[in-house]
Amino acid sequence: MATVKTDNAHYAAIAAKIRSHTGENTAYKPSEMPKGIDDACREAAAEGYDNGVQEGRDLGEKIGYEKGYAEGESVGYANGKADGYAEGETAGHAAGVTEGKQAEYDRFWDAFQDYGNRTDYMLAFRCINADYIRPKYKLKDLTQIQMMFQSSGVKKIESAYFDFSGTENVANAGYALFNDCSNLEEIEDINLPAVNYIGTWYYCEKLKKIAVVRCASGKTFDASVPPFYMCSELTDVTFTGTLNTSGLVMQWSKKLSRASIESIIGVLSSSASGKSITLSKAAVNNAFETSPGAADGASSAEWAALIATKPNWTISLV
Amino acid sequence: MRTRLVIYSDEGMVLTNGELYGKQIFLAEGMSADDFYEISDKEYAGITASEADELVLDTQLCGCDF
Repeated sequence: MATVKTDNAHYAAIAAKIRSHTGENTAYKPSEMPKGIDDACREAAAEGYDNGVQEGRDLGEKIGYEKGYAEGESVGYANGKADGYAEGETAGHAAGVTEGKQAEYDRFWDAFQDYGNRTDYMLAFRCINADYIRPKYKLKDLTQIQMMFQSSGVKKIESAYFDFSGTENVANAGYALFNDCSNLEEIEDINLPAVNYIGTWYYCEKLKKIAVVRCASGKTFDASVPPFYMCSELTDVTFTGTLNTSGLVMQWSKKLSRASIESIIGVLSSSASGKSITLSKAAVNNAFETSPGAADGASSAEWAALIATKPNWTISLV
Repeated sequence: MRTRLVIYSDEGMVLTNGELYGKQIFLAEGMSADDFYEISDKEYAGITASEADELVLDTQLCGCDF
Protein backbone atom coordinates (compact mmCIF):
# COMPACT_ATOMS: atom_id res chain seq x y z
CA MET A 1 0.00 0.00 0.00
CA ALA A 2 1.43 3.41 -0.90
CA THR A 3 1.85 6.04 1.77
CA VAL A 4 0.59 9.49 0.91
CA LYS A 5 0.78 12.75 2.76
CA THR A 6 -2.48 14.30 3.96
CA ASP A 7 -3.64 17.05 6.16
CA ASN A 8 -5.57 16.48 9.51
CA ALA A 9 -7.93 19.22 8.43
CA HIS A 10 -9.34 16.95 5.74
CA TYR A 11 -10.14 14.24 8.28
CA ALA A 12 -11.71 16.84 10.58
CA ALA A 13 -13.82 18.08 7.72
CA ILE A 14 -14.94 14.58 6.80
CA ALA A 15 -15.83 13.83 10.42
CA ALA A 16 -17.74 17.08 10.69
CA LYS A 17 -19.67 16.30 7.54
CA ILE A 18 -20.51 12.87 8.87
CA ARG A 19 -21.79 14.40 12.12
CA SER A 20 -23.88 16.98 10.18
CA HIS A 21 -25.74 14.17 8.57
CA THR A 22 -26.06 11.95 11.64
CA GLY A 23 -26.83 14.76 13.98
CA GLU A 24 -24.59 13.19 16.61
CA ASN A 25 -21.44 14.32 18.27
CA THR A 26 -19.55 11.12 17.67
CA ALA A 27 -15.82 11.46 17.09
CA TYR A 28 -14.39 9.44 14.25
CA LYS A 29 -11.03 7.97 13.73
CA PRO A 30 -10.10 7.81 10.10
CA SER A 31 -10.61 4.04 10.25
CA GLU A 32 -14.11 4.64 11.54
CA MET A 33 -14.99 7.20 8.93
CA PRO A 34 -16.13 4.78 6.18
CA LYS A 35 -18.66 3.29 8.57
CA GLY A 36 -19.68 6.73 9.68
CA ILE A 37 -20.15 7.80 6.09
CA ASP A 38 -22.09 4.66 5.41
CA ASP A 39 -24.29 5.27 8.46
CA ALA A 40 -24.81 8.87 7.39
CA CYS A 41 -25.70 7.78 3.89
CA ARG A 42 -28.14 5.22 5.21
CA GLU A 43 -29.73 7.78 7.44
CA ALA A 44 -29.89 10.29 4.63
CA ALA A 45 -31.32 7.67 2.38
CA ALA A 46 -33.90 6.75 4.97
CA GLU A 47 -34.74 10.35 5.59
CA GLY A 48 -34.87 11.02 1.91
CA TYR A 49 -37.11 8.03 1.48
CA ASP A 50 -39.42 9.17 4.22
CA ASN A 51 -39.44 12.69 2.85
CA GLY A 52 -39.98 11.36 -0.59
CA VAL A 53 -42.83 9.17 0.54
CA GLN A 54 -44.46 12.07 2.32
CA GLU A 55 -43.95 14.43 -0.55
CA GLY A 56 -45.15 11.81 -2.93
CA ARG A 57 -48.16 11.20 -0.78
CA ASP A 58 -48.90 14.91 -0.58
CA LEU A 59 -48.42 15.38 -4.25
CA GLY A 60 -50.47 12.33 -5.06
CA GLU A 61 -53.20 13.50 -2.75
CA LYS A 62 -53.20 16.88 -4.40
CA ILE A 63 -53.24 15.48 -7.88
CA GLY A 64 -55.87 12.93 -6.93
CA TYR A 65 -58.00 15.59 -5.34
CA GLU A 66 -57.78 17.82 -8.34
CA LYS A 67 -58.51 15.00 -10.69
CA GLY A 68 -61.38 13.78 -8.54
CA TYR A 69 -62.75 17.28 -8.32
CA ALA A 70 -62.62 17.66 -12.06
CA GLU A 71 -64.25 14.33 -12.64
CA GLY A 72 -66.86 14.94 -9.98
CA GLU A 73 -67.60 18.30 -11.43
CA SER A 74 -68.00 16.79 -14.85
CA VAL A 75 -70.24 13.98 -13.65
CA GLY A 76 -72.19 16.29 -11.40
CA TYR A 77 -72.71 18.67 -14.25
CA ALA A 78 -73.92 15.89 -16.49
CA ASN A 79 -76.25 14.51 -13.83
CA GLY A 80 -77.46 17.92 -12.89
CA LYS A 81 -78.08 18.75 -16.50
CA ALA A 82 -80.08 15.56 -16.98
CA ASP A 83 -82.10 16.04 -13.78
CA GLY A 84 -82.55 19.69 -14.46
CA TYR A 85 -83.75 18.92 -17.94
CA ALA A 86 -86.28 16.41 -16.61
CA GLU A 87 -87.53 18.72 -13.89
CA GLY A 88 -87.56 21.64 -16.25
CA GLU A 89 -89.52 19.66 -18.78
CA THR A 90 -92.14 18.76 -16.18
CA ALA A 91 -92.35 22.25 -14.76
CA GLY A 92 -92.24 23.73 -18.20
CA HIS A 93 -95.04 21.47 -19.35
CA ALA A 94 -97.21 22.45 -16.40
CA ALA A 95 -96.49 26.12 -16.93
CA GLY A 96 -97.12 25.69 -20.61
CA VAL A 97 -100.47 24.06 -19.99
CA THR A 98 -101.48 26.87 -17.68
CA GLU A 99 -100.35 29.53 -20.09
CA GLY A 100 -101.93 27.69 -22.95
CA LYS A 101 -105.27 27.50 -21.17
CA GLN A 102 -105.10 31.18 -20.37
CA ALA A 103 -104.20 31.99 -23.95
CA GLU A 104 -107.12 29.98 -25.26
CA TYR A 105 -109.46 31.50 -22.67
CA ASP A 106 -108.42 34.96 -23.82
CA ARG A 107 -108.63 34.06 -27.49
CA PHE A 108 -112.13 32.63 -27.17
CA TRP A 109 -113.67 35.36 -25.05
CA ASP A 110 -111.94 38.18 -26.92
CA ALA A 111 -113.49 36.89 -30.12
CA PHE A 112 -116.86 35.96 -28.62
CA GLN A 113 -117.25 39.28 -26.85
CA ASP A 114 -115.39 41.45 -29.38
CA TYR A 115 -112.93 42.47 -26.67
CA GLY A 116 -115.79 43.59 -24.46
CA ASN A 117 -117.52 45.66 -27.12
CA ARG A 118 -120.30 43.20 -27.89
CA THR A 119 -123.75 44.32 -26.71
CA ASP A 120 -126.10 42.01 -28.62
CA TYR A 121 -126.38 38.79 -26.66
CA MET A 122 -129.67 37.48 -27.98
CA LEU A 123 -129.45 33.65 -27.82
CA ALA A 124 -125.75 34.03 -26.95
CA PHE A 125 -125.61 31.17 -24.44
CA ARG A 126 -128.52 29.14 -25.70
CA CYS A 127 -128.04 25.42 -25.21
CA ILE A 128 -124.58 25.88 -23.70
CA ASN A 129 -124.02 22.77 -21.61
CA ALA A 130 -121.94 24.33 -18.84
CA ASP A 131 -122.49 24.59 -15.11
CA TYR A 132 -121.31 28.18 -15.05
CA ILE A 133 -121.05 30.91 -17.63
CA ARG A 134 -118.36 33.37 -16.62
CA PRO A 135 -117.47 35.70 -19.47
CA LYS A 136 -114.12 37.44 -19.50
CA TYR A 137 -115.78 40.82 -19.96
CA LYS A 138 -118.69 41.61 -17.67
CA LEU A 139 -121.83 41.98 -19.76
CA LYS A 140 -123.25 45.47 -19.60
CA ASP A 141 -124.82 48.18 -21.78
CA LEU A 142 -126.74 45.42 -23.53
CA THR A 143 -128.90 46.00 -26.58
CA GLN A 144 -130.35 42.50 -27.00
CA ILE A 145 -130.85 39.87 -24.29
CA GLN A 146 -133.88 37.82 -25.25
CA MET A 147 -133.47 34.07 -24.89
CA MET A 148 -129.88 34.66 -23.81
CA PHE A 149 -129.68 31.60 -21.58
CA GLN A 150 -132.48 29.54 -23.06
CA SER A 151 -132.00 25.79 -22.61
CA SER A 152 -128.50 26.18 -21.19
CA GLY A 153 -127.18 23.98 -18.40
CA VAL A 154 -126.07 26.86 -16.21
CA LYS A 155 -126.60 26.39 -12.46
CA LYS A 156 -126.22 29.94 -11.27
CA ILE A 157 -126.34 33.37 -12.81
CA GLU A 158 -123.69 35.41 -11.02
CA SER A 159 -123.84 39.16 -10.61
CA ALA A 160 -120.07 39.44 -11.00
CA TYR A 161 -120.45 38.62 -14.69
CA PHE A 162 -123.73 40.15 -15.73
CA ASP A 163 -125.22 43.61 -15.44
CA PHE A 164 -128.55 44.02 -17.18
CA SER A 165 -129.18 47.55 -16.05
CA GLY A 166 -130.50 49.76 -18.82
CA THR A 167 -132.39 47.01 -20.62
CA GLU A 168 -135.88 48.13 -19.61
CA ASN A 169 -136.52 49.38 -23.12
CA VAL A 170 -134.71 46.62 -24.97
CA ALA A 171 -137.16 44.85 -27.25
CA ASN A 172 -138.37 41.52 -25.85
CA ALA A 173 -135.83 41.76 -23.03
CA GLY A 174 -137.75 39.40 -20.78
CA TYR A 175 -138.69 36.93 -23.47
CA ALA A 176 -137.60 33.41 -22.52
CA LEU A 177 -134.47 34.87 -20.96
CA PHE A 178 -133.91 31.82 -18.74
CA ASN A 179 -136.47 29.55 -20.37
CA ASP A 180 -135.79 25.84 -19.98
CA CYS A 181 -132.64 26.25 -17.87
CA SER A 182 -133.32 22.91 -16.29
CA ASN A 183 -130.26 23.01 -13.98
CA LEU A 184 -130.60 26.62 -12.93
CA GLU A 185 -130.86 26.97 -9.14
CA GLU A 186 -130.13 30.59 -8.37
CA ILE A 187 -130.11 33.98 -10.01
CA GLU A 188 -128.25 36.72 -8.19
CA ASP A 189 -129.21 40.37 -8.59
CA ILE A 190 -128.03 41.13 -12.10
CA ASN A 191 -129.79 44.50 -12.19
CA LEU A 192 -132.47 43.21 -14.53
CA PRO A 193 -134.93 46.11 -14.56
CA ALA A 194 -138.69 45.80 -14.78
CA VAL A 195 -139.43 44.40 -18.22
CA ASN A 196 -142.33 42.60 -19.84
CA TYR A 197 -141.88 39.08 -18.56
CA ILE A 198 -142.81 36.46 -21.13
CA GLY A 199 -141.78 32.90 -20.30
CA THR A 200 -138.81 34.42 -18.53
CA TRP A 201 -138.15 31.54 -16.08
CA TYR A 202 -140.40 29.11 -17.94
CA TYR A 203 -139.58 25.51 -17.03
CA CYS A 204 -136.76 26.34 -14.62
CA GLU A 205 -137.69 23.28 -12.62
CA LYS A 206 -134.77 23.47 -10.18
CA LEU A 207 -134.78 27.19 -9.67
CA LYS A 208 -134.84 27.90 -5.93
CA LYS A 209 -133.91 31.52 -5.60
CA ILE A 210 -134.23 34.73 -7.55
CA ALA A 211 -132.63 37.64 -5.75
CA VAL A 212 -135.03 40.22 -7.14
CA VAL A 213 -137.85 40.58 -9.65
CA ARG A 214 -138.52 44.19 -10.48
CA CYS A 215 -141.94 45.50 -11.33
CA ALA A 216 -142.94 48.83 -12.78
CA SER A 217 -146.05 50.55 -14.01
CA GLY A 218 -147.13 49.15 -17.33
CA LYS A 219 -144.74 46.21 -17.27
CA THR A 220 -146.49 42.88 -17.47
CA PHE A 221 -146.29 39.23 -16.59
CA ASP A 222 -147.73 37.45 -19.60
CA ALA A 223 -150.24 34.90 -18.31
CA SER A 224 -150.46 33.22 -21.70
CA VAL A 225 -146.78 32.33 -21.46
CA PRO A 226 -146.40 32.28 -17.68
CA PRO A 227 -142.95 33.49 -16.65
CA PHE A 228 -142.91 31.14 -13.67
CA TYR A 229 -144.40 28.11 -15.42
CA MET A 230 -143.24 24.90 -13.67
CA CYS A 231 -140.93 26.72 -11.25
CA SER A 232 -141.85 24.08 -8.73
CA GLU A 233 -138.76 24.49 -6.51
CA LEU A 234 -138.90 28.26 -6.29
CA THR A 235 -138.69 29.20 -2.63
CA ASP A 236 -137.13 32.62 -2.29
CA VAL A 237 -137.88 35.57 -4.54
CA THR A 238 -138.14 39.24 -3.70
CA PHE A 239 -140.44 41.41 -5.74
CA THR A 240 -139.81 45.15 -5.78
CA GLY A 241 -141.41 48.15 -7.40
CA THR A 242 -145.08 48.35 -8.32
CA LEU A 243 -147.24 45.97 -10.28
CA ASN A 244 -150.40 47.32 -11.84
CA THR A 245 -151.20 44.67 -14.45
CA SER A 246 -152.77 41.26 -14.27
CA GLY A 247 -150.98 38.14 -15.39
CA LEU A 248 -148.70 37.16 -12.54
CA VAL A 249 -149.36 33.43 -12.17
CA MET A 250 -147.27 31.44 -9.71
CA GLN A 251 -149.46 28.45 -9.00
CA TRP A 252 -146.59 26.02 -9.72
CA SER A 253 -144.40 27.47 -6.97
CA LYS A 254 -145.75 25.46 -4.06
CA LYS A 255 -142.67 26.04 -1.90
CA LEU A 256 -142.76 29.79 -2.01
CA SER A 257 -141.70 31.27 1.32
CA ARG A 258 -143.83 33.58 3.39
CA ALA A 259 -141.41 36.45 2.80
CA SER A 260 -141.66 35.90 -0.92
CA ILE A 261 -145.46 35.92 -0.83
CA GLU A 262 -145.45 39.03 1.28
CA SER A 263 -143.16 40.78 -1.20
CA ILE A 264 -145.54 39.85 -4.01
CA ILE A 265 -148.55 41.28 -2.20
CA GLY A 266 -146.40 44.26 -1.32
CA VAL A 267 -145.80 45.31 -4.93
CA LEU A 268 -149.47 45.21 -5.90
CA SER A 269 -150.52 48.70 -6.82
CA SER A 270 -152.96 50.27 -4.39
CA SER A 271 -154.60 52.23 -7.20
CA ALA A 272 -155.02 49.52 -9.83
CA SER A 273 -158.51 48.30 -10.60
CA GLY A 274 -159.81 44.98 -11.85
CA LYS A 275 -156.43 43.28 -11.60
CA SER A 276 -155.56 39.83 -10.34
CA ILE A 277 -152.74 37.49 -9.47
CA THR A 278 -152.58 33.72 -8.97
CA LEU A 279 -150.59 31.95 -6.29
CA SER A 280 -150.19 28.36 -5.17
CA LYS A 281 -152.77 27.43 -2.57
CA ALA A 282 -150.32 24.96 -1.06
CA ALA A 283 -147.69 27.69 -0.74
CA VAL A 284 -150.10 30.01 1.07
CA ASN A 285 -151.39 27.21 3.28
CA ASN A 286 -147.86 26.30 4.36
CA ALA A 287 -146.44 29.81 4.61
CA PHE A 288 -149.25 31.14 6.78
CA GLU A 289 -150.26 28.01 8.63
CA THR A 290 -151.58 28.66 12.11
CA SER A 291 -149.61 25.80 13.64
CA PRO A 292 -146.88 23.48 12.36
CA GLY A 293 -148.29 21.05 9.88
CA ALA A 294 -151.75 22.59 9.85
CA ALA A 295 -151.44 23.79 6.25
CA ASP A 296 -154.38 26.11 6.80
CA GLY A 297 -152.76 29.36 5.92
CA ALA A 298 -155.30 30.34 3.28
CA SER A 299 -157.90 30.64 6.02
CA SER A 300 -155.61 32.23 8.57
CA ALA A 301 -156.05 35.65 10.05
CA GLU A 302 -152.52 36.65 9.02
CA TRP A 303 -153.18 35.85 5.40
CA ALA A 304 -156.45 37.72 5.56
CA ALA A 305 -154.69 40.70 7.10
CA LEU A 306 -152.03 40.65 4.40
CA ILE A 307 -154.38 40.64 1.46
CA ALA A 308 -156.59 43.15 3.18
CA THR A 309 -153.85 45.67 2.40
CA LYS A 310 -154.70 45.27 -1.30
CA PRO A 311 -158.49 45.02 -1.43
CA ASN A 312 -158.49 46.21 -5.01
CA TRP A 313 -156.80 43.02 -6.20
CA THR A 314 -158.38 39.64 -6.87
CA ILE A 315 -156.11 36.94 -5.55
CA SER A 316 -156.61 33.43 -6.81
CA LEU A 317 -155.20 30.31 -5.26
CA VAL A 318 -154.76 27.15 -7.29
CA MET B 1 -164.92 46.66 8.67
CA ARG B 2 -164.51 45.29 5.22
CA THR B 3 -164.63 41.66 4.30
CA ARG B 4 -163.53 40.01 1.18
CA LEU B 5 -165.78 37.72 -0.72
CA VAL B 6 -164.09 34.36 -1.15
CA ILE B 7 -165.37 31.80 -3.59
CA TYR B 8 -164.41 28.14 -3.70
CA SER B 9 -164.56 25.61 -6.46
CA ASP B 10 -166.12 22.23 -5.93
CA GLU B 11 -163.95 19.17 -5.69
CA GLY B 12 -162.39 18.36 -9.05
CA MET B 13 -163.33 21.72 -10.48
CA VAL B 14 -161.67 25.05 -11.13
CA LEU B 15 -163.28 28.47 -11.06
CA THR B 16 -162.73 30.86 -13.93
CA ASN B 17 -164.04 34.03 -15.46
CA GLY B 18 -162.33 33.25 -18.74
CA GLU B 19 -159.09 34.91 -17.75
CA LEU B 20 -158.44 34.06 -14.14
CA TYR B 21 -158.43 30.52 -12.79
CA GLY B 22 -158.47 29.26 -9.22
CA LYS B 23 -159.84 26.89 -6.63
CA GLN B 24 -160.11 29.57 -3.97
CA ILE B 25 -160.49 33.13 -5.13
CA PHE B 26 -160.37 36.20 -2.93
CA LEU B 27 -162.40 38.67 -4.93
CA ALA B 28 -161.42 42.29 -5.10
CA GLU B 29 -163.85 44.90 -3.98
CA GLY B 30 -166.49 45.36 -6.60
CA MET B 31 -166.00 41.91 -8.12
CA SER B 32 -168.95 39.61 -8.32
CA ALA B 33 -169.02 35.88 -7.86
CA ASP B 34 -171.50 35.81 -10.72
CA ASP B 35 -168.64 36.49 -13.09
CA PHE B 36 -167.19 33.06 -12.38
CA TYR B 37 -168.12 29.58 -13.51
CA GLU B 38 -166.55 26.18 -13.06
CA ILE B 39 -164.60 23.95 -15.40
CA SER B 40 -163.17 20.56 -14.63
CA ASP B 41 -159.61 19.98 -13.56
CA LYS B 42 -159.09 18.12 -16.82
CA GLU B 43 -160.28 21.04 -18.88
CA TYR B 44 -158.05 23.33 -16.90
CA ALA B 45 -155.05 21.04 -17.42
CA GLY B 46 -155.70 21.15 -21.13
CA ILE B 47 -155.72 24.91 -21.13
CA THR B 48 -152.39 25.20 -19.34
CA ALA B 49 -150.83 22.54 -21.58
CA SER B 50 -151.78 24.41 -24.73
CA GLU B 51 -150.29 27.56 -23.27
CA ALA B 52 -147.07 25.66 -22.67
CA ASP B 53 -146.76 24.94 -26.38
CA GLU B 54 -146.76 28.60 -27.24
CA LEU B 55 -143.28 29.23 -26.00
CA VAL B 56 -141.80 26.48 -28.15
CA LEU B 57 -143.63 27.71 -31.22
CA ASP B 58 -142.61 31.29 -30.66
CA THR B 59 -139.01 30.27 -30.30
CA GLN B 60 -139.14 28.55 -33.67
CA LEU B 61 -140.91 31.47 -35.25
CA CYS B 62 -138.18 33.83 -34.17
CA GLY B 63 -136.10 32.35 -36.95
CA CYS B 64 -133.46 31.00 -34.64
CA ASP B 65 -134.03 27.26 -35.05
CA PHE B 66 -131.01 25.18 -34.02
